[in-house]
Amino acid sequence: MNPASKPPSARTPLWAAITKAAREKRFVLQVCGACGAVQYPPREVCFSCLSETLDWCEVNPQGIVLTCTDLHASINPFFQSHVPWYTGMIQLACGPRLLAHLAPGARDVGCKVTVIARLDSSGQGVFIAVPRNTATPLEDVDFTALLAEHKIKGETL
Amino acid sequence: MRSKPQSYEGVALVAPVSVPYVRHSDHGAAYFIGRALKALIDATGLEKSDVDGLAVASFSLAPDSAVALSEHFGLRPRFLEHVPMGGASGIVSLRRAARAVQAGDADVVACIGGDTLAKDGFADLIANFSRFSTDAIIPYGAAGPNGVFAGITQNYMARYSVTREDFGRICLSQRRNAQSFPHALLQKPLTMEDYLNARPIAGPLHLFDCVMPCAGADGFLVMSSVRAKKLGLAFAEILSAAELHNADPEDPVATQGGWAQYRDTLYEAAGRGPQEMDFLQTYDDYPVIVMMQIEDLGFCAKGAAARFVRETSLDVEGGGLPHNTSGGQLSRGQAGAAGGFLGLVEGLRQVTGQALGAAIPNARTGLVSGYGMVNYDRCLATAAAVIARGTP
Repeated sequence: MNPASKPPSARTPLWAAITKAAREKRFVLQVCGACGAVQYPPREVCFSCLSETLDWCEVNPQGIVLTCTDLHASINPFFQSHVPWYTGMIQLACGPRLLAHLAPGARDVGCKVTVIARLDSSGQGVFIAVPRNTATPLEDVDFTALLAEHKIKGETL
Repeated sequence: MRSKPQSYEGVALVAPVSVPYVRHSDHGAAYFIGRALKALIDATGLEKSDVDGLAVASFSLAPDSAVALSEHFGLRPRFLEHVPMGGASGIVSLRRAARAVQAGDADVVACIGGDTLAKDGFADLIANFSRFSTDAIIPYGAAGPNGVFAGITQNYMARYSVTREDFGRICLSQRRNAQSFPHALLQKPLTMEDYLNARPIAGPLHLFDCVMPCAGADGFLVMSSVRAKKLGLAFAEILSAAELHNADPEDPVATQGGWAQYRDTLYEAAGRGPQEMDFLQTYDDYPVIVMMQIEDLGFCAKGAAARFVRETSLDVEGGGLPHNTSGGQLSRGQAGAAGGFLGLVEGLRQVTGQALGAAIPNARTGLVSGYGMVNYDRCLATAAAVIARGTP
């Protein structure tokens, strides 16, 4: 593997708020100021009432694993060199569905998880689903390479 | 109460053409779309200037759009559509073009789906497919649609007790159907052992569940049936057609596409039910989506498609339900938006007696369905049409 290879860094401008919050380990999504609907992926107007007043707020990070996929092929060299890579769709208690990296212990359909936000090594905020109510050292799980290393050394959740 | 659509009476679909697919190409998309246009003109004896309408679907035209093609091809269309709907684009183009012809906005509309594919073209396509996927899908493993459809497949298998072997039956049948189709990129016979032992791609998806990206084009002409008869062309009619987008946002994991919501009105307008279809051409990006179309278009109950494919031959001449009779994308390759035309163009060949490969015995009426554009965690665009042999 090319040691310089990193996860994809491209995002739309809306993602900047998620990256900013992830730097502080905060999990934020857009909440509609008019009707309260939680939005994901990030939107320009509310999917429910079309209000343009969308505020970035800390929301309930708890959810359930809807799908769990072991990826064996990727267009990205970083992931290709780390297969199998585990991702899954999370049904958040606050409404939206969200694709996340899956930590060990969160790799089964039906797992109760907490979604955390961190910076990946490309400098962008990403979401990781970890088993609810357990302290999982992220460095155990290939995530040292995924995440911005200085942020997580020796760290537990 | 929604309005009831008017009929497509008086509209003819003629000249199904395919520009043979190739794995990669250094040409631009206009090369494949232009060759399809030439084939349409050659097949009908029309002059280029007779084509006064154009509907195009393509992922690889950027920074151009269908507008640029008018100058590239020296056309002066008075009806022009760019239909960025991937796997639904063939039927959606048909619907737009048919209404234009009925309204007199155009006399002859060329409907073409075509794409090129450079060596790294597929990675570029999926990395820039939609804003939602750029933010919320690609950063998580960059697996493109395979990642999303692995989850959909896994969920469907668990919910309806479906095995990989059940999906394999669809893939093997399509490979058999591809044997006689001259332009199929994948014709090597596929055994169940090959299928089951293929290398893993994502979750339950293995190599032969996935389509091979390639370059090529498919197309047809839409005109009045009066004109088609005057020109002495074999033609098909549209008995009914429908589309619906973002049909099921509440499903936690997609188990349907939207076909079930309009199948009753589709069959009612056609005056025929699923049992009277001589074939079914589905959109086969993954075999699980084929199963959903078989169910939601009324060929069996919801969740019973696995049993259906165990009990029913899908081969061209298997005596069951001839399905994806040219091999589908799983054997011919996925030439971008042409994948949304492939099934429709094959259906048109079959009902007009112009099959390039094996012909379905006495095919008069058939159903074609489309599914396209995985924006986030499912495809959003669905369409279906019942087509029939035109009466000369």
